[in-house]
Amino acid sequence: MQIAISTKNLTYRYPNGYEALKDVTLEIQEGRIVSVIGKNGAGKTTLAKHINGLLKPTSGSVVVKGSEVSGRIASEMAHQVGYVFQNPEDQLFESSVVEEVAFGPKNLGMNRQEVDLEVKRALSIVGLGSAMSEHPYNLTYGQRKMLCIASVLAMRPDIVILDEPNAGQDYFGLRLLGTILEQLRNQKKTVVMISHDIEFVAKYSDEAVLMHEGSVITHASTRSVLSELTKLGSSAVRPPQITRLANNLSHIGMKRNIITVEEMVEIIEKTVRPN
Amino acid sequence: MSEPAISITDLAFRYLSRDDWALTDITLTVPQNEFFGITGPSGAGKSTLCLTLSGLIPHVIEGTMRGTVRVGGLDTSETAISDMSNVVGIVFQDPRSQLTGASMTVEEEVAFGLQNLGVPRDIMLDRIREALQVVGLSGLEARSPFELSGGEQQRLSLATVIAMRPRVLVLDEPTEMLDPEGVVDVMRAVHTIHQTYKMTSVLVSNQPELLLTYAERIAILSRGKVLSTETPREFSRKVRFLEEMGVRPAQVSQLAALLDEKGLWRGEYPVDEVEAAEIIEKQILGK
Repeated sequence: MQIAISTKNLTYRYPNGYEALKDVTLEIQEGRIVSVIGKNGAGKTTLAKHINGLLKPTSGSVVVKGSEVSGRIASEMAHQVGYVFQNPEDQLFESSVVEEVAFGPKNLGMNRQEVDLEVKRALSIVGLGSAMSEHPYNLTYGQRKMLCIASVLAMRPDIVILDEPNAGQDYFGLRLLGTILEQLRNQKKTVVMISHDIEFVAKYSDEAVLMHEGSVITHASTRSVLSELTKLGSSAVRPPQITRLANNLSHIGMKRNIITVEEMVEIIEKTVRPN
Repeated sequence: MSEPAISITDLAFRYLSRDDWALTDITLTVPQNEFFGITGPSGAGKSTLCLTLSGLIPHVIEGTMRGTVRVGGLDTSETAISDMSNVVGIVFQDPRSQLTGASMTVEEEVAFGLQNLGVPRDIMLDRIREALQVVGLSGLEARSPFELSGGEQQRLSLATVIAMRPRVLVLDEPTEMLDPEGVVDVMRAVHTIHQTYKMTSVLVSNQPELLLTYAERIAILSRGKVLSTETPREFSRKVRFLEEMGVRPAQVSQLAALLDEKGLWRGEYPVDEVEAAEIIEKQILGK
């Protein structure tokens, strides 16, 4: 398995002196969906912004797909790393949905036909196929976030960064987001997702990175990170309700590392009906 | 019998620039001191309903309103917006957008509304101290509101509202933009306020765990209508209905529903993981 993203002793200090990242060393393999969790101010977004070169390390290095990020030009990075911002207002600037999504592919030098194709494909993935001529500000907040995702997908990047994609989404939006992640997984894309929605993290990510005060506390399988949050001394991130339930049942033999509802259903069913 | 805290009759509202109605046929009563939850998918009309409770609709936001909304005994259409602020306080989703921007310190921010009401200085100082204590911000009086975390800013908004001593507190997805720690701190403050002042509280949320924990009744809104009003226990049982409506059910409710469909669940649906553990241990896995 190839390494998609690696950081080595990455430290970042904001101009005001605040050290947002402290000596972060991390490796993310190609084709993995990796969630970054931790409280606000832990350094999650600062880390993500180093992956596409929006921020340059104060010290240490960031390597994406085999070459150092600093020193590479923006357009080259855009093709490799798609970045969906937390706030859609930071990303949207065109006056129609279709122009918004076409902007990236056009700048990558695709011809008109290719651009049209990519725009249609990306909009249908995020459920905005019928909103092509709308002004982005006529969309709901959740739809604007989906539009940002479409603009990134239209550039077909190998790596997709999603900063809190599920904030402001209702249950329909969350399920659609889950479908998008499954598609990215099938296409062997590497996804780095920042999220506070721990149930969503549990359901869709392979690995989790827990950050605290600029450092990586742990990086392991989502199951191991979420079921050991208490052991890791993290009071800021709460395990999913189903994991807390598993803990409450551990005295009668329930496994503690259950992170999805479906797993617990299976275990209970097997216990009650062994055959 | 005292008048209900909120009484809405045949309410409909359409925004000025829109053809469709944001709210239709809303009839709803919330008794005094109740903790009332509201949930529903995007575009259901949850925020619009909050704006009608605060009087911002029809006084500030333009559109066509039909029906009546009475809050704390006052008809919102007939009461000046400045008088409504004594009766109802509202906290919105985005912590930063609620700061006045005119205050250098946390203390001044809480004082702002009181000064506008002409509250005497000694009473004002007492109220500020108490409000900051209730929301857990004592000690941060001299800090700039803009230096606070999102959760602290939301608690500051709560403090500015409760310092005015309204009878009804309206919370429009107050924890949506916060991290898990912020959610816990804000909900703890909301709970303390509800207990301390017996304030009628309306919480709009899409986080089922919060609704099941805090609300005494939960209304499900969709396309501008109230589809049903449930106790938490009934709400927990409505898993498939909630999913169809675009509302996430709690994981313990999902678990109960999936086991129920296999004929493996016994009795009531749980409202939290403690109840769920008891039912599973005694009724399902127990001998």
